[in-house]
Amino acid sequence: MTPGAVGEEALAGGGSTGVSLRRRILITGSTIAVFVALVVAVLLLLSLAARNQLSAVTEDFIEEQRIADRITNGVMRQLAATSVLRSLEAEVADGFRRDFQEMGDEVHGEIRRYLFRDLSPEERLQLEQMAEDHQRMEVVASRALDLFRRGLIEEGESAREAMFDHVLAFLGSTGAFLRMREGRMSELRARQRETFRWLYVGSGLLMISLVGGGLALARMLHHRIARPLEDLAGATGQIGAGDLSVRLPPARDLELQTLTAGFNRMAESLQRAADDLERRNDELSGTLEALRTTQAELIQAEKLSAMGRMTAGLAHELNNPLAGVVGYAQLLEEELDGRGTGVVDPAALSDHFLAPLLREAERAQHLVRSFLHFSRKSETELRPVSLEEALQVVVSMRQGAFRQAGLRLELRQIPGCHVRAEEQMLQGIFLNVVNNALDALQSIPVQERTGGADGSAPGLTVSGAQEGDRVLLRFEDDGPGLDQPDRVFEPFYTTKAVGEGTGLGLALSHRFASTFGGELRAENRRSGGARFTLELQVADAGAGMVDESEVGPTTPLLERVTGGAGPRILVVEDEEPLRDLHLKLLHRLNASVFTAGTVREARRILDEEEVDVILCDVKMPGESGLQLYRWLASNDPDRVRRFLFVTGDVGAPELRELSRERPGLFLHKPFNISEYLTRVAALAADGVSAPG
Amino acid sequence: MPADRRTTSTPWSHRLRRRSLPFLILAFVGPLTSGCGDPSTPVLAGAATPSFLNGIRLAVAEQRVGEAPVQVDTILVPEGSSRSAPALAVAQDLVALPGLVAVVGHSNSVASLATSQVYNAARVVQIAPSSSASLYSEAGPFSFRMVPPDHEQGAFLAGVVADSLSAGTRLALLFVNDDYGRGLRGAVLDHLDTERHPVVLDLPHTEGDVQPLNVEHTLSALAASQADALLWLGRVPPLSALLPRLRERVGGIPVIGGDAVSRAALPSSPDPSWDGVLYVDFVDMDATPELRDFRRRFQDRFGADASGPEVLAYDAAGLVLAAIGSGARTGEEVRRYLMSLGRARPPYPGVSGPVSFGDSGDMDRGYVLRRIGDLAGMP
Repeated sequence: MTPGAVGEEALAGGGSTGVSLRRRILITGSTIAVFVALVVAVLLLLSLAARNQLSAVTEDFIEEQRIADRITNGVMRQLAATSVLRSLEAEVADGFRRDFQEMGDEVHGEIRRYLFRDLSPEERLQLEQMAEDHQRMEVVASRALDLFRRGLIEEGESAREAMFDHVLAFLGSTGAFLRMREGRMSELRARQRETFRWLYVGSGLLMISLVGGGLALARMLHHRIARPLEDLAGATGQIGAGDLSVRLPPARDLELQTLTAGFNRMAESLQRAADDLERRNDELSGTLEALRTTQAELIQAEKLSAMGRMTAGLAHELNNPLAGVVGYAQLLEEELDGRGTGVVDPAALSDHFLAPLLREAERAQHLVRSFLHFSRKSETELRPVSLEEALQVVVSMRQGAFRQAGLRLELRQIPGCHVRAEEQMLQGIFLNVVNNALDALQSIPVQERTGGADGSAPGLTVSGAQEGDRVLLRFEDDGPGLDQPDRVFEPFYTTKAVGEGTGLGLALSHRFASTFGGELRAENRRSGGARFTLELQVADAGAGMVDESEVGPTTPLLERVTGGAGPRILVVEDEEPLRDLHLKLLHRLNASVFTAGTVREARRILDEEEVDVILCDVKMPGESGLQLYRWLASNDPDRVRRFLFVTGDVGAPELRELSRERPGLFLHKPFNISEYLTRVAALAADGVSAPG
Repeated sequence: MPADRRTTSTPWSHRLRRRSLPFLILAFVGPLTSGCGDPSTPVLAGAATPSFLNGIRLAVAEQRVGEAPVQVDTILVPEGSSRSAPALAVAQDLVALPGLVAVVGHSNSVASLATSQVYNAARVVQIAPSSSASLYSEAGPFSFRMVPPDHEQGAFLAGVVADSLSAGTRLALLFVNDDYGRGLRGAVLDHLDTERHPVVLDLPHTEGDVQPLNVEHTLSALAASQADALLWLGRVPPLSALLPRLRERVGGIPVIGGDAVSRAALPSSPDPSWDGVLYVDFVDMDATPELRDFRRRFQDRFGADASGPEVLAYDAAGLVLAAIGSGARTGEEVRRYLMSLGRARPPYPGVSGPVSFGDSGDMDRGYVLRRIGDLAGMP
């Protein structure tokens, strides 16, 4: 078989050039049968001839034995007659003489019976010699008998003795003749043996021919039938295994030509179909990939859209506290410059200007932290998530937007339990539902947003209830309701104007909920508005949660530190204002501070100085703080215990794993001064940088 | 062995397969027409006493000068032995000749009978001119003879005894102890009225029994038997030895012989003791003008008188020549021609009379009784 090598005539089904296998087998079988029949016929003829010859020889032998017996018997009786004649009466003697003559005639006749048999010239001569010897014996015997009859006993005895010489001569010639005949019989037997040898040889040849013919026929059947069928079975197996390139070579016989041609046509059709299927599959794969790409782009667009809207809201939310910060700062500056109201008392200044400024700044800090927390990308790892905290993150983000729009965002009876979810995806669900409600509520005319009969503004109410191991959260808005509640989770289904939404937010939220083992449903409220119900699984609050008690006490540690000689602290920060802030703050701990703008400087200081605490930023020009941490971990593991990252980049992927392993290793910017001092003092006191 | 090579032909030498045969070829008559030595030319052979061979020679010679000569090669081998061994040797040599279709011979029953199987095996026609042994009738399809079997001669001889010898004549029956003598003796005894002509002596002899002791014993036996007539069923040589002594001892008792006592076999100067001896012959040479003319021609050509055997040999050769002239080229074709005589064809017009054969190859022919010493007065 030649895989892939397609015989054109086989493909074309060229059955016109082959010879029918049936005819070939018929011809071969007939030839063998005729040959065998001929050989058998010859052998039968030979055996028949041999049998006839053997029969004839046997009959001849028996007949000649009888003749020889009669001759011998006759001669013996003639001899007996001559022996008794001498003492018999004349009449009795005459009777014996007649017997003598009759015996003589019988012997002569028997000898002459030989005459017409198949004799060799030598045998014929010897037979004549026998006859002559017998004739002489009879002549002498007759003479003796005549002498006895005449009473000439002595002369008769003399003649009788002479007769014995002739008898001996006769017996000698007879023996010689019989030996010749025996020799002839031996020759015949030899010829018969030769014939039988030829019969044996012929039988052997016949057997060899039969075996040879049988082998040839078997070989032909093997080559013409079995092997092609094996090839066909093998090729069928290859086809079944998926190798559609296999083809059968052109067969020699008509039937197998038809079979192989049909098989090759089938394989060709299958290959074409498979190629077509593969092509279509490629096309579908391309289409699917394009769809995925489009989907990803759309998701990204949705994210960007959501981010854009959130960024706009964040900007708005930030502008307010920033406006307060700037305003209070400027007022304080004017008071300090003497251009203000004239307040000079520090306590009054703090109450009137610094306290509001600090409050607004903290408000901005809280907004930024919430935003960063939301935007942090995490892996889809389901873990216990505080339902209330997740909701608070979203509410804090969107509360301003609701309030600004004259709308209400309210949380009611939120269970304090944890649910099985991925925090960011859960917040995404909340954000999408909240945003969707905000968009719907904004369709309410502004004059109607001020409040209903009870004076409350329309808005979104989020309520929850725990039922066994399930938690139900209901998002009920006072908007116009859903046009097609059963389609809201379809991808790209949206009733918003172009550019305002991708139609993927709720679809993704539905999918996220399913991922958590929960469900997100949508319906219209009878009283108006839409209701989204999120069903989640309750999770064990302790699993995977950080034990806040491991952070350790703060104040006592601070006091203990400040009461001592002061720790030696290395600050690695590329921004100079922050380095100054570190110096001012650490001065409160009476610390000896070393500062480095790069990781390389930090290494040099660490090589030269003993430090108790290392405060390090992450993103810096050149090497990052993470590389310094790893360097220390491999060269001076003890110092790693007093290492603290002070960074504003909490969402960096390279920090995610480390943050998960050692949550206390990080202090996020902007930070609270007291938390800062407490964490640093704790490290300086125990060399324990973080729990775990 | 006297060589009588009348004509020879060199090309014949290559037709002889046996080296032993050339010295046996005593006479060779060349082809009757052209084509000497042609392997396809049929061959006629003669194997008999010289007087028989002269009959053959005469037939061939006369056929050659006839109006429709046939193309035939002839080889003549003198073979007159009464023993079978020499005859067999000649027969073996003859059948080795290519183209041999027929053999005229042999001279007596013993030789003809012994050689018959050789010729039958070789599918060569054998025509015995004067062999009368009864067993010859069974010799085979290729065996023919110009005379009847012995049982007919026995009846004829019994009739001669009955007619020529008075009742009470005691017979002494002396026979040669071979196929001829035994067969003829049996035939005679079958037809002889032994009550009227009792056999007082029944004594065999052999061809070699020519020693004085045996003759003496025969004479003493004859004397002791007091036979009145002698029935001689043997050949001439023993009788030639016996007759003079017989005449001395018992006088001129009648002697009656079989066909073996032919005049042609007699010595050139017959002893007076032969006078009065009666013998059987197959042909009366004075019976027809054709026989008388043949006798004259034979006399003219060979300087010897012809008797029955010569005529029969002459007619036998004529038969073969006629067969060849009719187109026969093989022994089988000659045989078929001979068997067709008197059937599909008319009998062959031989000098001895019309010739045709019975199913056993025998010829139906009468006998004549002849007397020695008074030829002119023979019956």
